[in-house]
Amino acid sequence: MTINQAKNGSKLTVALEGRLDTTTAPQLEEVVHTALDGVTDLEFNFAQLEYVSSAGLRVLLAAQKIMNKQGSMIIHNASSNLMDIFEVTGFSDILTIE
Amino acid sequence: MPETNIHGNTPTMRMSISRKTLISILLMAFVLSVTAIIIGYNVYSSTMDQHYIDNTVHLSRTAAELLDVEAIEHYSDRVFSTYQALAKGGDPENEAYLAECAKMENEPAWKEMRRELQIISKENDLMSMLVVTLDQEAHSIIYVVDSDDTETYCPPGTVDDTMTDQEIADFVGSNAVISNTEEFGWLISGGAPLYNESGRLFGLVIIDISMNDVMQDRHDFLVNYCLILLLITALLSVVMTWSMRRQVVVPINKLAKAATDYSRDRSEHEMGQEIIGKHFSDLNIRTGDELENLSYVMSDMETQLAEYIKNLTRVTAEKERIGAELNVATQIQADMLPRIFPAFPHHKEFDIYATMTPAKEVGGDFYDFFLIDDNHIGLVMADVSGKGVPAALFMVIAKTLIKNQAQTCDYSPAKVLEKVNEQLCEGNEADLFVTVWLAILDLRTGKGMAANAGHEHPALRRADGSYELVVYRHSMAVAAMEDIPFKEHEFELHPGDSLFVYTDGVAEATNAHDELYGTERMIDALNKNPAATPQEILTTVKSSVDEFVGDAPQFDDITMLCFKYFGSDESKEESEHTK
Repeated sequence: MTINQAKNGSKLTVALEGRLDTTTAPQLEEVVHTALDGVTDLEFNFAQLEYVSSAGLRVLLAAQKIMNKQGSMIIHNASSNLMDIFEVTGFSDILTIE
Repeated sequence: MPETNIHGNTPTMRMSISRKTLISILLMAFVLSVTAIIIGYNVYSSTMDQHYIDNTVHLSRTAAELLDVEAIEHYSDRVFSTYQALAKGGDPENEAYLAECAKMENEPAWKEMRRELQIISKENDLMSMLVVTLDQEAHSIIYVVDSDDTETYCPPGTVDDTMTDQEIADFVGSNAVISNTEEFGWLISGGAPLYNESGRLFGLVIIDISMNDVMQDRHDFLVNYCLILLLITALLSVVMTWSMRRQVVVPINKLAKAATDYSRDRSEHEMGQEIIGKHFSDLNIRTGDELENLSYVMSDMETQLAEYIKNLTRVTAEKERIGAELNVATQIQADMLPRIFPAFPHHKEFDIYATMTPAKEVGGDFYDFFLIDDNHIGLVMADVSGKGVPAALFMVIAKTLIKNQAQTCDYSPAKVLEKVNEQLCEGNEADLFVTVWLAILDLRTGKGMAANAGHEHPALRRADGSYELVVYRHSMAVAAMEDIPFKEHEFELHPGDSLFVYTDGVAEATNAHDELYGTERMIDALNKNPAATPQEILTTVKSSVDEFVGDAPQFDDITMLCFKYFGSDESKEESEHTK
């Protein structure tokens, strides 16, 4: 998986590519724990993301929790596969998906 | 002395340092000695030769001064004229000539002259002293007087034509010549010219000094010189070899022995045993050079190794202890799950069976089932995110809370989960969450309520049908976030229906090719013999998973629960009625 970050002021856009699973989730976790200081708008671009496992969901949840305190988090371009995962896991209840 | 190393191999030592040193010293000593002998002998010889030549020349000149020149001139001229008259160009030993010359021997003046020569000769330790006259044309000398009184005496008039021009020139020029003949042995002959008052050269004084003694001295010198050099060489070899042994070989052998002992002790005392003694620091090598330095470095290394081994031992022991404790934790965790089957022997309305196969590490899977009252049963299948001790602890709390809340929430799984969510979210710093499938079923009617908080889809089989996944929208996982609502839905089981719930350890079991087992294979396994008892169903699925995974390691707990509803008398009656 590759992670591309683009920061513009207090807005951070993170584009993920590949699979977000047990082996790659720690990479994103690293970003979540280090790059979110002072960020009020967090946007994920999941256009190139193929799969999210439970480990990946956990990182998204952690990010959502942080952003609940300091701003907002939006997920863009989730494929129908990902939408199924979010729906079925109930994540669509707490994530803002556009 | 070949050392045997730890692996039992004897390293081939072709030549020890001591022997190499000895050979180099001997070689060097030989070259130096030969050079010294050649140079020393030559210097000695030429100095001695020069000394004797100077001495001889000096002596011959002195003799020339001492002699009665008039008498000598007289006899010299007489011999020469006799020689010219009777012998020149002919036989120098003809009788007339010899007789004429022999006359001189009896004359008192001649005898007096000879006596003088003999005195000088004796005083100066000469072998012989003689006066000759020269026939320069014939390169001959003719004896006038000879001091010799042995058998080699030459009477006046004896002609010696064996002289070379050079020798005659040497005598005339007051020089000396060293020669070695069989007759006389080593000889040094010196000459001095004799001139009369008017400056005419009328003869030569020739002295012979035996060099045999000198040559003996020279020989002795050579022998002594060689002996002394030999002695010094031997002494040096012994000292150098001894010193080399003491300074280099012994320390190196000590180091080698220490290393061997060290390895041996290491392999004898297995890891964790008392730390091996100080092999290198006890060596006490005090050579004050690189070897001492090396021993310091080795001793340093040993100390650090000992420290390292100590740490490693401690860490290993710690790890083993933690591992043992984790095993206990895994056991306790497994023991928390209801594992006695049949679980409720007096309830004939259903059959239930559940298993959990833990992965190596303690995980967070759990199942549970309990009677809320005589008519209601609670079924739980849950999976805490993450692994290890935090997940296990979280699982214990979650399981307890769910069971407790189920007693008080009017048979509403959504309410139960909301309460549990609230409680788990308090102080959930680790960001753990738990996916839960919770169902509460009225055993009398087969009607129930179920909530699915982010858990896997359950599989349902209607009587005489086959297992199918029941896919619907789930709620968020429990403890994921505060104040989230949980959805619940009604369901109804008819007699003969069965439910199968599981954790992702089943669906995500992975084989050596990194392929997931998946729910499709699971459904196929369930439908191999869908009418089987819950225990048989679980065994079938488990062996199907095992077969798929093969030798690949199991990463996640594999947890399954199967519930089969037979219906109560009440519901059976009801269904009879509807028929």
